[in-house]
Amino acid sequence: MHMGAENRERKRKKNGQKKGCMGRLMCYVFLIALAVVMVYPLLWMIGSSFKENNEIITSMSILPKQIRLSAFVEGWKGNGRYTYLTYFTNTFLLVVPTVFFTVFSSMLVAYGFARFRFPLKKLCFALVISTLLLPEQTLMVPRYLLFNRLGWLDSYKPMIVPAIFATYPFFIYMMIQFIRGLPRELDESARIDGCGSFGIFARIIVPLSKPAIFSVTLFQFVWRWNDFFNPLIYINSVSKYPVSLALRMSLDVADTVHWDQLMAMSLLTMLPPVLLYIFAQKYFIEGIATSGLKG
Amino acid sequence: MKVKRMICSVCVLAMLTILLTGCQGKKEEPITLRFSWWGGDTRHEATIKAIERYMELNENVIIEYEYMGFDSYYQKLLTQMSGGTQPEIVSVDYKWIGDLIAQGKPFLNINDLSDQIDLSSFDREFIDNYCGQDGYLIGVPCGINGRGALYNTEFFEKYGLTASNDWDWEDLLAAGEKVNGQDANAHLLFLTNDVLVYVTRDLIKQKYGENMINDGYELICTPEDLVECMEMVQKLVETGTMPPFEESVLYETVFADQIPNWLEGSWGMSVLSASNLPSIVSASPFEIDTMRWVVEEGAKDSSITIAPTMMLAIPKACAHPEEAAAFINWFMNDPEAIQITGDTRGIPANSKAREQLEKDGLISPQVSSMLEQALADGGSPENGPTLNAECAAVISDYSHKVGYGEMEPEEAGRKLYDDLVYTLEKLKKGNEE
Amino acid sequence: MRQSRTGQRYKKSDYVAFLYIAPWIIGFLVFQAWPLAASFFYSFTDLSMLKSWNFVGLENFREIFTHDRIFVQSLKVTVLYVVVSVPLKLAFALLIAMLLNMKVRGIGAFKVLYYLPSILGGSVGISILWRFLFNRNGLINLMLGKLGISAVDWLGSPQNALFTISMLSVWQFGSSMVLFLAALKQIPRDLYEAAEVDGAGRVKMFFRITVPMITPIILFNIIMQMINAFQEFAAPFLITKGGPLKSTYLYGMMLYDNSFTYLKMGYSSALSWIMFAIIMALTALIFRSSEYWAFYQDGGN
Repeated sequence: MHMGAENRERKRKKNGQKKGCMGRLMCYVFLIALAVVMVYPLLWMIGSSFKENNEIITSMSILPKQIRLSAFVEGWKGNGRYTYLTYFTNTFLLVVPTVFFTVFSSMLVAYGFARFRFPLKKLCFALVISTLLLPEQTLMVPRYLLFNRLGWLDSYKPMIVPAIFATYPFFIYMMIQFIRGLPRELDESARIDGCGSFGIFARIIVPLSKPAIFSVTLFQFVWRWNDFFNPLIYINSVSKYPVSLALRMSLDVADTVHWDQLMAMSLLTMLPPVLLYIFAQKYFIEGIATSGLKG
Repeated sequence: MKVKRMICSVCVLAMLTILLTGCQGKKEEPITLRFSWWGGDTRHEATIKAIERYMELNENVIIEYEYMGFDSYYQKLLTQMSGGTQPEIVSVDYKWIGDLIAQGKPFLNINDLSDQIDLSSFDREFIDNYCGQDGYLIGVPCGINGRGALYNTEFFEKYGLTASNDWDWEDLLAAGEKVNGQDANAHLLFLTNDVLVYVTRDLIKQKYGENMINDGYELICTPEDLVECMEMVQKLVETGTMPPFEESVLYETVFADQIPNWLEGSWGMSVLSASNLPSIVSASPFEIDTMRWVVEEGAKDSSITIAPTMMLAIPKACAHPEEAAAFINWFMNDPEAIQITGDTRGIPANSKAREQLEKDGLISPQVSSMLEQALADGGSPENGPTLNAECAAVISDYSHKVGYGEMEPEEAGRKLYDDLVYTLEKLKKGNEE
Repeated sequence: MRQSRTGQRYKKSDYVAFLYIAPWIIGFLVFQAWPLAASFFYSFTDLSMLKSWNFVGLENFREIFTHDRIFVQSLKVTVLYVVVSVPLKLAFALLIAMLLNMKVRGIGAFKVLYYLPSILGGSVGISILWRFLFNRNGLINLMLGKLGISAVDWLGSPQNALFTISMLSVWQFGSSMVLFLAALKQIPRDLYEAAEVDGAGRVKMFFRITVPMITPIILFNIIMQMINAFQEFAAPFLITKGGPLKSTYLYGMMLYDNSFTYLKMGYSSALSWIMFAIIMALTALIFRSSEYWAFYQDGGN
């Protein structure tokens, strides 16, 4: 069941094909069973959001007895003046600028690292890498006090501004690896054509880095969308809540146990990342693979 | 070369300007006030209705609101205050008065606003005793609250129990055993974490007639007393009066209306403040009645809590204190506001409001009966040190350890004593600084 | 690329690089280096947000190490959480990666499915789902009931709760799996062929070829997963609130409580530096125990 399997396969083909078939079959059965186990809770969640409260507690089945949309309608209303429309809008207002600035700044910085020699470069690069290991929670208190002094609390600035200044070392690293993989000859020919360093960046590097840009965008979008900790600390007004906090409030406030509504809203809040993932899974999986490996 | 550099600098500058322009806010004409509170749906709906009515009447004022469960409210409030992002009108619980006064009285003294907020129909003694300290009034109380027990009448009938206002701890245990003996899945009593801590506080106060921790941050009881308290926790679990902690712990920060076992009728009784009843009454598919919470025979003090329901307070840093005061005044005294909010914050502390609601039949019978029972047998006021959050956490910790059977009462009581003494010393030191 | 080391002067044009990395330099200084230093300083004060602060020397650390029972408990469960969830997750990820590495048909579909939980893992919605699945009346107990097994208190019992929370982390094995898969693909086939000729068994090949060849990625995975596990916050906060009996009171929650519930900023800074020190020490230990240096292989040119 590992690397050597293929070679054995060849041998087996000579010896008799049945054994190989069996092994392969077992392998499939296992993989499929695992997939079912892993995805079942999600499917059940989808089903549950159409069920009645009572049916959720008593039925294991994914399919609801009848399709009813009231959990979505009622859940969407939230608990008063603000509906989930507000929360979804807020999330986009928070996430989109953060993602945009992350991509832009990481790209710029990565270009600096990948294509230039400069004093203290080794040190700087080592610092980028070591910040990968820096636990966010050690920085939490001073950052909070800093943003407090700047008057940024209860706004999205504590999350957006750090993105402008390339504070996501993971993405810088990912970009550096990618840009290093691009052939330098292209830079040279552009230089001969009279391009400056920024020209090379804008005309050569950025267009060629599309896959990496895509990966960074997707990852950052999903992570910021799901982020709970930062909004919890920095956002106070319900009118500014992103979906993560709104859901938590629904969980907290729900007067009777409206599991159906909670399931329905959880499902909706998970939908944007999932859709994005389904349409662009290639970039996610490749992004992860390249970032961690090469270098 | 220069061009390149310029492009780069433009880049950086562009980012800086985005950053800086993002910092400027817009100014608007009408005054915006934020108002925050905690509670359940019934309270939220009524309050929002009142706010909307107020905005109709006062077009220059916009009131934004924030509400949440009690669980996360205080934490959020403290964070907001430290960051200067607190609302103009906040809700304060009596449990926090001591803490908040120690932290530098961050709210306006309501006594200084007496020309803006009419307190004439409030019981002066009640306000002075429960809503502040030495002439400092932290907020205007929305209602008077009393702690008591609520029970499912069908449950009591089914297991042959008779409610009465003179139960002592033995009666409680006997009733619990009786229920559990008939059905191993049925349990008489479940407690939120808050009330679990009260088991210890109550036993001590009933024995000595004094609050468990005095104003000088000293524990008034002996380690042996605390061992007895822990034994009570153990008995409650072992007799099946309380469900096993494994089952109930998930619900220990929510009220009965969110607990399936209560709604299904397998847990039959709980302890809470009267103001929390309306949501439960409307959510429960059976009749609910109330009774006085248990008191030891010959107790020196019943230890039945009488307290204000949430108080509305104005932070010192508030930009529009006059508008905030005007709203509070309307919210508390205007007949229309009283009509809209009804008993969602308990029975009003304002006697005129109480009369109005009684006349209109807007107070649910359970709320008034629980309050009556509490007032008939009320304990002396609780003090800040006894309600201190860190001490409560220590008591809760050991109660859980005993409840889970991980520690014997003997050991838990003694350790609890040592930990409380240590915590109190630290608190005392902190306050002196 | 060795010019810099041999002492060649930098050209004027090289300094343009600083303009490109300027955002990072500012960001690093303002949002990373400074907070780190500040939090070190705060750890020697009694900083609280509503009061003025005093310098208290080592008092916070003395309190933490001699009197704070909750610190001991929290550290204990956090270490347990790391020790349970990280190896389990990685072992699982490696196993599945190896299965997928056999040229299985439909491997793409499997990858997509297995990676899905990693996309959703950190969201509040999943925490709510988890809470419901493992509730006493939840889906898992419902299934067990059909099999005739009596209900288990997945979240209510102090023995099980941490395990249940760890499962949420293991469920998200996808990203580690993808990394392993990419690493496995790079192992030259002939190594195995040669080994097979020498008559090596599967187990032997696994330990002699597979593991050594992917050590850098194992290292990377262990360290990143460990750091993440140490900081886990949302799951215990939303699912169990740290309970029962503080059995899921992970370090991140303790930090949050001290900072924002008790407002003991100085104290929580001291706690956060202890966590930082532990993570650093463990990382150094892991590196030391391995001969490979995954990150710097090409010297950062």
